[in-house]
Amino acid sequence: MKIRTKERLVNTVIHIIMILVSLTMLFPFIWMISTSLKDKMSALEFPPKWIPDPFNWEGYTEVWEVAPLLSGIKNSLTIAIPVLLFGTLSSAMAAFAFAKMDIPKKNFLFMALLSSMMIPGMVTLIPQYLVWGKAGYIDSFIPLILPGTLGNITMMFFFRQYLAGVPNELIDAAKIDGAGWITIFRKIMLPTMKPAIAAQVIFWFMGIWNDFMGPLIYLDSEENYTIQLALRLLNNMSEATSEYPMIMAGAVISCLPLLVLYICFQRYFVDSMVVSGLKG
Amino acid sequence: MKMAKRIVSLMLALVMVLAMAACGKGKTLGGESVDNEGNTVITFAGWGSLAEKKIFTSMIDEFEKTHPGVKVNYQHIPGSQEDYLVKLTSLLAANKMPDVFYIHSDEFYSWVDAGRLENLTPYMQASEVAANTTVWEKSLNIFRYDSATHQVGVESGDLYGLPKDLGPWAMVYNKTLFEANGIPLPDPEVPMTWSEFVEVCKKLTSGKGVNKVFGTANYTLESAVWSNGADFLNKDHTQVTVDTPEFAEAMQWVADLALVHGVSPTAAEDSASGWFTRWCNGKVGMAWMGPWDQATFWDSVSFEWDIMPTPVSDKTGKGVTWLASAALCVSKDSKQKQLAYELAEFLSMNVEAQKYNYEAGQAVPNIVDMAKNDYLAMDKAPANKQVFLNIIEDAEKGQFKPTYYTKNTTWFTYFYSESSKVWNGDMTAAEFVKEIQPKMQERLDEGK
Amino acid sequence: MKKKGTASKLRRSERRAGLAFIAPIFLQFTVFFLFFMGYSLYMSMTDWNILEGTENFIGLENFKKVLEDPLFWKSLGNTIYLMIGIPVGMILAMLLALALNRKMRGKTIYRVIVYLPAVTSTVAIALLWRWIFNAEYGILNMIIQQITGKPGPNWLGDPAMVKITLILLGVWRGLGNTMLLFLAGLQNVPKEYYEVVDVAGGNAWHKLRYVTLPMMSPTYFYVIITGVIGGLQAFGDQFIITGLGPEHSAMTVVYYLYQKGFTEYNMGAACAVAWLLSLFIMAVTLIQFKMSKRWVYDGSH
Repeated sequence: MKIRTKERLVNTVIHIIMILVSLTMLFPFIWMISTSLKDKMSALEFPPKWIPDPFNWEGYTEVWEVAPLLSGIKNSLTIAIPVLLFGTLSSAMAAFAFAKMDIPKKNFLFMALLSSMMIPGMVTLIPQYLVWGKAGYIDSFIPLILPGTLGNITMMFFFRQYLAGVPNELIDAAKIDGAGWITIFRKIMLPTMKPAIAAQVIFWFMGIWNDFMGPLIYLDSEENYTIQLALRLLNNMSEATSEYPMIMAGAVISCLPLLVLYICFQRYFVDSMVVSGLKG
Repeated sequence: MKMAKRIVSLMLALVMVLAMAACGKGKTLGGESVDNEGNTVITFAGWGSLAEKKIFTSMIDEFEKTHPGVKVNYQHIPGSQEDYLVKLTSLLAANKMPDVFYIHSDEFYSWVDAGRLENLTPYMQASEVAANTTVWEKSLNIFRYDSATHQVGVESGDLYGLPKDLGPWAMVYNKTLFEANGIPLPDPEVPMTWSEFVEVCKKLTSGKGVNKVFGTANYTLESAVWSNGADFLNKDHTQVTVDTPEFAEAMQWVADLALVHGVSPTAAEDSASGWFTRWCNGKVGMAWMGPWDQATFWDSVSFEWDIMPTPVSDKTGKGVTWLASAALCVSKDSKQKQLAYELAEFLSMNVEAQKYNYEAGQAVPNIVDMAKNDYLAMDKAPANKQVFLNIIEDAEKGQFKPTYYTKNTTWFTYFYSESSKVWNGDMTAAEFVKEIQPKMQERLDEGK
Repeated sequence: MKKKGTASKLRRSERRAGLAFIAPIFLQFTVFFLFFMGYSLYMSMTDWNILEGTENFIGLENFKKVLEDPLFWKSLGNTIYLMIGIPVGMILAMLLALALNRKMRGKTIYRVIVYLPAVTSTVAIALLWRWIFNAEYGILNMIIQQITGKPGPNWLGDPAMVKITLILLGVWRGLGNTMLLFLAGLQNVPKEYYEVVDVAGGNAWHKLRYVTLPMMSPTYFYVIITGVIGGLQAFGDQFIITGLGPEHSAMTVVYYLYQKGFTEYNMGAACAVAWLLSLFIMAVTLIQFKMSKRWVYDGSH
């Protein structure tokens, strides 16, 4: 009885602390949304009002005219979809091979791939940029798409960790049934990997959606801007005149797809962390 | 084995599909010179506001009318001037230089000295339009370069760019605010001295916090320095001369406007809301403007304004400010240089285009007669347009920025970023310039 | 005899298939990593200037110049300074993870909320930060003004405050991720160890001190390594929120690289900076691996 009261007290304290923490974490979002629904003058008012009065939707209706947000979303998706489709496949294949197949010099090859995770992308950025330039692909999506379609080493690493936990008996049984490696991969491995794939695809999608440096140097014309560049453009054009509601409306719009994905798949995020398990 | 083949061929197919997609989409700048309908295509790149984009789009329409069969592909690169430069760099890396593009006077030296710009002198000598048009001497001189001595701005040099416009940086005042405070308006010809300026600022300053009205904002350091008889560099632009007493005095004077007199936003206030926004909201008495700001002021400020002569240093009695310009340059790699020159010339010297440009509040006309007659007579603010013309014409009143004369501008950007020590009041200007001079010199030397 | 032949044939076909499976990712590795690493190393030894069109071999001159540039050291110092956020974030995340690693209602909701900042769009958050930390109109200083009656600090204009603003952003955005990693780590601690403490008559503090905290060391190690590697590559936030910042206070190494390459056209020097940065990262990672042998629990004792 006494222990239970004590536990309840502890829980209450933790709840109070967690509510405060949650409010702190949410505070910037709340302010972002609140500002986006004000008009230009009331956004600058002191003392600040948390609830806009009256609600003003102009930021949301006008922002599309000022910056190419719509084409930005479209362009970001144009980059993300082929990369995720082919890149995930390629990473999954490699992970399967490293986890379950006999490959000459397997450990050496695997360590070589892993070592590249340590080197910042910056090192290869400039020569890549010059070569893509010489090939005539500046201001096109190719430099942003092509390398990714061949796979993602981080993703491959996580998949391998995941597959290490899948029993070999499944594969042996299939082999006895006369299945080829492609069949084994397609029919057995891919379905088992589903949760890991879901989580990793979301992470990678976030990475592509948020990529700033790549689009910044490769893309020139406004119609090719990704969502991040479109947002920056919005800021460049509107901050000097204090159009904060409009800027915040743009920010909300660009965060929405990620938030929706996150809320829908939030279980996988946690799973992915546990999966990766930090055994490596 | 079969599977290995299949995977390899799948990958090849993927690469090809993507490459094809790229070709279909790839809209080349400067590459193709003929479009589907058989028109000659010429590319033109520039930065600027949306207003500027609109104006140039109409000017280009006019050009296309006078040149049947020619299509101008206008690439408006949004964002700041720095973003624009990064983009030009990327076009350079991609061998996709536009035929005609802006180069700001700050960058002109490095571009012309690298041999990226076409010498326009022969084209100009052969051009009837150019022969019959008088443009500001300075607006041409700023884009002259002597390839033998590697110097810019020398009259003996060849011309490597036509002026988009010549921008005099003039002091502007809020007439409504002056009248409301019962302060006599600044004289259109006789400049204020610095001490008079501070007194007027004090009278204009009122209020607190968000609603504070400032006497001035963002006082241009170059103007203070030059007016006080100092400079950033020596005559042949090889020595950094910021460590003179005159320079320190001028810099301290600017810093004290905020720190001592409280008539100008402090660094903190300035980073909260830029001077331009404050000015547009009627919260600044005297600030600075270029002719390109006219359109914005016509449309979006609710008070009356005019421009005034640059305030003069009490010591020297001189008032100097800067002049900048962007050139319309022709790429050395252009495959249609004559046509490119004609486009640049049209935008720079055509009567209709220039008229359109000044009527839209974007610039002072390049054509001298037009500026002295039609522009001065135009019935729109500022009333005292002569101030702009004085800065353009009188070498004692308007100078090119110090960065114009050096290929590498890091010595200046370094100074600029570090100077917040003075604006914040952490250091006196005299201490600061002594400390920074060797570091600037190092960077200047390295840039050679 | 025949059987053995089939086996080795099978084995060979497996090896071929395996190689085919890793071919795409290996192609990426060789082309987009190895080749360009080499290319970048070569470039770093040339005076490659994109504007001037020069490309002469100059040996280690670029490295020398960069290492002699005080701005490079300043940018490296700034980059390291900004990493203060890593330990701060780890401590906070650990407290949160411990709080949430118990049976209580609503913990999923707390977890979702704390992780939320990690799933946002970078530029949007950078712009939001500019807005919140605006010295005059920002909500933060408005609140400070309301409470204390004095104006708040100049977050984006004061060299010392700029860094704090950026660190706060890093902690806020990274907290959820670190917390989830710690939660996963906590679940991996074997229950028997706690029982041992119970048997020895230890209390909750002993469990924490002698079991939980030491057993989590692989997680700390991972968080530190990824944090340092990520921190050394910081650029986007600085670029949007502060630019170079007053007195170059927000200039990171990658920002320095970007300036060298794209506004000074000096691609050779930029590549040299990139190489210095990766050498630095490799060194730091190696040292961490070495040190980890001493303090990371690896399950062998």
